Amino acid sequence: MKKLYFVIVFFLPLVCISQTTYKGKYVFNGEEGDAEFQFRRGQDDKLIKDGFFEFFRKYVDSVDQTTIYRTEIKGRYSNDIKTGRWVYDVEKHKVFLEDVVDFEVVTDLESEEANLTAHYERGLPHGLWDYKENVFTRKRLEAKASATEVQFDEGKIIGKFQYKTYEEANTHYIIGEVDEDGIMVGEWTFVYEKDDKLISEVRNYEMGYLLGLVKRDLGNGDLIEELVYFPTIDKLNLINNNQNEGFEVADKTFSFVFNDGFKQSFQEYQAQVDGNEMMVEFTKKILRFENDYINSDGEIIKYPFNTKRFKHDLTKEEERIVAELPDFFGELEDKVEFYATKNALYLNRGKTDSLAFAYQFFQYYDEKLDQLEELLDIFKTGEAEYIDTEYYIREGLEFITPTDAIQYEYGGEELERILTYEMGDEKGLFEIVYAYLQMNKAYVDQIGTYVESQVSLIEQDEQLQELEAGIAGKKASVDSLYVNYQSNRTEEVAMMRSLYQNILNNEFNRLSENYAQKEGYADRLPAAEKMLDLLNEMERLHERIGAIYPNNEDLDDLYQEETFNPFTYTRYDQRTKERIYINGAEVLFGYYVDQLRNENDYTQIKEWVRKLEKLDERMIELRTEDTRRLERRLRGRVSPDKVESLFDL
Amino acid sequence: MNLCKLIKRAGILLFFFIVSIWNAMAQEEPFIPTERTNLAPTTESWNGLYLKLRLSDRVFWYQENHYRRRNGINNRSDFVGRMSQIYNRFGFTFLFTDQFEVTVGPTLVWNFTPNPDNPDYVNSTLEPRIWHQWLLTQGIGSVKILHQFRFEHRWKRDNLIGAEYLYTDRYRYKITAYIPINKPRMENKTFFLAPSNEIFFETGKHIVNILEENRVYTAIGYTYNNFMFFGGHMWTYGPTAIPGTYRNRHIIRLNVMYTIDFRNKRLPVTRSLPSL
Repeated sequence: MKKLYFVIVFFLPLVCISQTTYKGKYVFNGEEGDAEFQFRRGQDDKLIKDGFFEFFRKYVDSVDQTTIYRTEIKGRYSNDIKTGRWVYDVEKHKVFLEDVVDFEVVTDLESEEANLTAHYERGLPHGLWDYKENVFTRKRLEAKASATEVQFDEGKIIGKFQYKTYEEANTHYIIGEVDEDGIMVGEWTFVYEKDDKLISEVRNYEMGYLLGLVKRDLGNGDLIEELVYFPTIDKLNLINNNQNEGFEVADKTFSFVFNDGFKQSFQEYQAQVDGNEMMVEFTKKILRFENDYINSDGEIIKYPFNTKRFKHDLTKEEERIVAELPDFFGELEDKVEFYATKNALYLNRGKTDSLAFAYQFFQYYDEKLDQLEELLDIFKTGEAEYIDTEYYIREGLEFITPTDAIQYEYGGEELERILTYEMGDEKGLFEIVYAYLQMNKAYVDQIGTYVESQVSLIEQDEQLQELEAGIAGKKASVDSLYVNYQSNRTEEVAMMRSLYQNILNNEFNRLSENYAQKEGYADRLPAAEKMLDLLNEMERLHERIGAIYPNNEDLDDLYQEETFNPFTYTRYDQRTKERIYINGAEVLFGYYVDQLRNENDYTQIKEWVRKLEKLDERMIELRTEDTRRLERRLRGRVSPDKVESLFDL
Repeated sequence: MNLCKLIKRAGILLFFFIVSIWNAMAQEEPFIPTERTNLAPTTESWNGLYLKLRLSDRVFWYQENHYRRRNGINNRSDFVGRMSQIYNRFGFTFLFTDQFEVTVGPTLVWNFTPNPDNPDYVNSTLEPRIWHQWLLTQGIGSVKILHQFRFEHRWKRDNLIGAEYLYTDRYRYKITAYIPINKPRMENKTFFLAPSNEIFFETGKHIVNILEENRVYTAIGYTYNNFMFFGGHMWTYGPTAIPGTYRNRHIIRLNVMYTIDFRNKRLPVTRSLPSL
């Protein structure tokens, strides 16, 4: 023993030293606050909470600054999971400013408080949980809700438990029992208010199966509803007698809703709604800090106690349908929604009778498929084999009809078309639904293809019309650029007029005639695009073309140098590098401008503009270079080609 | 010696004796002209090349070379009948500002005989000079006015064989106006009028009348890049050695002026002289 103490004492500092305390900002359960806790570093330097944990949050409502929210949590972590006793305290205080008397503020306070004492083992709720909710109003503290001595065992509530809420005149409560596996058993009592009546609902569970329920008006004792789940009882008896064929007790557990093939419209389903809501409310309150149970949207993802269901055998065909139906339905739904919301179909539904029908068809089907959501959810959630399909279709399937009458309006008349569905010898819910949906899909595909062909033609035609309108507008604006071009230089104005005549008039007309002769969208579109390209090109080049003459004038100024005449004693600018200037800024420039003016192909206009710009750049470069050799070579008449070559253009 | 020769010599001696007596009697009363006598005008042709070469920002080489002819002996109006002068002036100019410069240098003139057929004259005589000049310029609107003060110190002799060099100091003032016609100011490719007037004064031991001459020149010209072409009519008027007698000349002048900048070529444009 002494040795043990010695070891502990000897190693304790090491243990203490290896742990560190954090104190600072922290986010707990999505709330920002301050925390202090012990931690250590694990693999990859991961922070592992280990030791005490305290979290505190105080938040004042930013809008009116009169509501304070406080959260205080204390507990322990062991290897990053909750352990031991945890206490959660959540408060909301609203302050009402009533008066100021003798410089003393007079206020009123309304508060809500929820206090939860929980126990954990290996991260799971385990042990006694105690939940209390209080309100402070009219200067009095009153209990609002409580769930005391709720026993958890490895994440499941076991044993008897109560949950109470104290309303103004009455107490609402749940009293129930859960077996050691977290399965609802025995008699469950719910007391709640509905439609101004205080209702008592008593349910009887056996092994998680709801056998029946009775609802009474506690005000007058009248029976409101009594329901016995006979098929469930029959099945349990068959199981007990080993006479169950085609079904068995399911291994998995289920939510509070006991569903043995009940549609939401069935009485068996609706009768459970109110009591189940109370259980959901209780669960969300007591487990609000458990991410494994309540997700970030506040929805229950894991239940603290459960119901059970029967697992039904599926044929191979049914298994195949169960596997394929969700995707199949999803595609069908997407396609219907696509056409139901297609703007082009909506906008053009009035064009033809068929388009009007098609539009209404998809609107109708969009709503119709919504009716199948409940059934399809069964497949999507993987609960198809837990549904008694015979039971499910006992009242038939309202969405499966031999015909669908689609009413639509066209040309001011109310019209109707009938779609028929010929069912084969399908048996069973799944086969019937699948076959029916396939027939639906056939109609959807057929009408969808028709819509696509029609609308695309309309869209193409509209597209061409839009393009033509765009071309016309663009032509007017680009024409204006060239025709109304103002300049003091007559040669510049003449150049613009030539470009207008050759390109914007002659070549554009040629393209326009070509376009008019084309038929079909596929041929007309490129022709129209070419016209638009011509206009865009000329618009884009306008500014550059307008800079041609001013740049040339700048060269005139650049190629001057100041001279002092020693005979007349005057200073003036005199041409420098005259040969370069004459050949570049006059001969070659004039040649390029002539080519530009006479060009008939709009795609070549930018080429001449580019050459003129390059010439300008080169002339600027030559001004400061040693050009004596070049000037000697420019003696006499030199052709534009030769000048280009000599200038390295 | 025979008697005839002796009598001839005695007669000559007597003639000269009488003349000298008569002259002595005459010098005692100086000749005062009562009216001005203008000799008939003569004509000349002067062709000149003027160079002004820029060696640095402020220093120029100045040079003039003239080929001058004058009318023939028997034709006063032919302008070119006889050779007159080959005239060369050189100098260095320092340009203080655009409005003031000073030039100093030598001049070398060949003066040709007035009568090539007369053996009493040497064909040409050399006339060296030293000259210096102040030139001031001013602008009045588009017109440029030049005030040229030129001073010459020259050694000149007559073409007569055996004539001695005579030294004179010459003072010249010329006012010139450059009047642009087709441009707002004197610049490149400008037609211009250039009237001028130059007055000459001369002093020396042998000089009686210090007013030497006045020259009125009306020229037209054209500037083209480094050249200036200049031509016109000049009329000179001035006294002769005979008091009261004046001569005048009509001279046609044709000139070419050329300037070149020997500084580092292709410099970027400079807008003003660097400061002194």
